[in-house]
Amino acid sequence: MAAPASAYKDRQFLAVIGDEDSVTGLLLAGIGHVTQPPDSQKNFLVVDSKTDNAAIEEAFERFTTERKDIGILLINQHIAERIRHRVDTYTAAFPALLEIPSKDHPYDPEKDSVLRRVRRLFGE
Amino acid sequence: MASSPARPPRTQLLSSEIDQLFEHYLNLLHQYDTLRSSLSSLQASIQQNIARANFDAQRGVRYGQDCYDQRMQAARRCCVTRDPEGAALFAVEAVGAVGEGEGRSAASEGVHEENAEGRKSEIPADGDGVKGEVDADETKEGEKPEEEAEKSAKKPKDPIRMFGILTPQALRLAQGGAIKMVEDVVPKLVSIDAEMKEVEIKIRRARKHRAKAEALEKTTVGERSEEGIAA
Repeated sequence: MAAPASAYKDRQFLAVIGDEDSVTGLLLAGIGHVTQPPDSQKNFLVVDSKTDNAAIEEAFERFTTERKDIGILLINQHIAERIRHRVDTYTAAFPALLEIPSKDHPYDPEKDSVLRRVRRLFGE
Repeated sequence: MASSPARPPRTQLLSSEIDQLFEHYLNLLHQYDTLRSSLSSLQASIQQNIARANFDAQRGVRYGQDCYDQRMQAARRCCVTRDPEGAALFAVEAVGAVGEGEGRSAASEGVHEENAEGRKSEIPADGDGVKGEVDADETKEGEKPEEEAEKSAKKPKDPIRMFGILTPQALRLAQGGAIKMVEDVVPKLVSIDAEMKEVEIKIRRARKHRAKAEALEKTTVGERSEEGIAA
C-alpha cells in the first residue's frame, strides 16, 4: 500500500550520521541545514570514537521518527553496524535510508541491508 | 524456471509472471550494483581530496566541524514524488538553480526588460517621449531592490564559504565530487531501493498465489482420482 502524499511532500532535507570527513564532504555539497532558533536543530551528526551508541541511536530516532522534513538519511556503514538492530528493524518508506562507505571502512556488500534482502528473497 | 507443458494455465501464468518480475528485479539489482560502485569511487575521491586539503592547509587549520557554519541553510534539497506504479522517486535539486523562486524572478526580469524596451520603442518623437522614458526608469528602479532582496533571500550562499574565502583547490574538487554524489548517485540509489522493495512485495504475492493455485490443483486431481477409483 503506497503512503499518502502527505507522508512525503514536506520531506525536503537530507540528513547524515557519519564521521567528520564524510559529513564535511556532504556539507560541502550543501545539504547542511540548521533550523531557526530557539530549536536550532541540525540535520547532521558527527560521530567520532568518543560518541556513544546511545547518542547515535537518539540521532537516528530523531531523523527517522521525530522530524518530518527529512527525505533521505545517509549513514556510514560502520556507524550503522553500531546500531544494527535499530537499522535492520527500520522498515518505513520515508525517510529512505542509505548506508555509505567511509574513509577507513570501505563498502562491505556482506553488511549491505539491500543485498541481505536480496539473499533472503532468493533463499526462500 | 521452465514450466512443464502439463501444468494448468493458472499456475503457468503465475510462473511466467514471477519470471518476469525476477527479470526486472535482477535488472534493478544490476543498476544498484553499478551505482554502488560509483558511490564508492566518488566517496573515495572526496575523502582523498579532503585529506589533501587538510595536509596542505596552514598549521593548525583543519577543514572539519570546527569550521561549520552554525546557521547554515540547505543549498540542495530533496524532492519526493511517486511513479505510476507507486514506488517513491527521489530527486535532489539545488535551491535557486531549478527552484521556483529563481525561475519566477528570472522570468519576471525578462518581462520587465521587455516592457522597458517596448516602452522605449513606443516613445513618439514629440516631447511626451521624455516623460515616458523617465516613467519606465522609475518603475525599474522601484522594482530593483525588491528583486535583489528576493534573490538574496532565496539563494543560500556557497557552502564552501564556511571554510574561508581562499579555499584550496583540493577542497573545491571534493565539493564537485560531493555535489555529483548527492545530485546523481544518492537519489538514484534510494529510488532503485524503493522500487526493489515494491517488486519484492509483488514477487512474494505472486508466489503465494501460485502456491495456492498448486494446492487447489492437487486437491482437484486427488478428488478426480478418488472418483475414478470409486467408479
